[in-house]
Amino acid sequence: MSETRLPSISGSESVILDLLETREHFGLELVDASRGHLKRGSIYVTLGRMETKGFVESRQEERTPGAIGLPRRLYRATAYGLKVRDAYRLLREALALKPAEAQ
Amino acid sequence: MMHGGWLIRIGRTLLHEDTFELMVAPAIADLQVEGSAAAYVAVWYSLICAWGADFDGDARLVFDDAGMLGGLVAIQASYYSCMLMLLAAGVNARDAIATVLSGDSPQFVAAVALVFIASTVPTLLCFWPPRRELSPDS
Repeated sequence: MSETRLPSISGSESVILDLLETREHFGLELVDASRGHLKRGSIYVTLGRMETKGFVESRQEERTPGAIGLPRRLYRATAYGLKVRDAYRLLREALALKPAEAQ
Repeated sequence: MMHGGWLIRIGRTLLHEDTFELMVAPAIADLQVEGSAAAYVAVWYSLICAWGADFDGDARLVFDDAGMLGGLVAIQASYYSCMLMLLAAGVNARDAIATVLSGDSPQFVAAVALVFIASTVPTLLCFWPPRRELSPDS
């Protein structure tokens, strides 16, 4: 029987999922809304990894005709990503309990 | 004026297409919103991290076939080592192996080692994963 590899989630990824839970955002909006938790340099690397893991989805913005440059991306959380975030939150809460409280 | 055209060319040359689209293109797109020095630093940081991610993934794919690649390197290295033996005043295979094992001729040992190392280069070049392109319907 093959072993299922459990997904991992970092603190930054958890913050991103919190911000994307209710609506789509651009990457720069996530950096601004995070109040210093997320850095501009690493936001797209993190979002790229999250998309590969299936935690977020992205789409290119609709552009007006004649717009120049590359299109920006809008990101949203997937149900799977929110599920993993919630599972790790429960795990952290469970591990934070002292042995006497856990019983 | 479009910002970052040369960064797009660098990214598309160095990176797999999907890595470029996910990790670097959004940072370059932000240059149209704000073209500050911090924005360019963010693009370079994304480019370097994306290249690292691609290299890591490609290296893992290559070394999954380590046994087969080792065999190919050994074939090439054996061929060139034989050439080396012919050049070294007609040394025969048994004497050459004895020389390498005994270490009596450090120059010959160094030359054979260089042949083995150099033989890995064409093997890696041939078997390194090609740049991934996105399919038209993705």
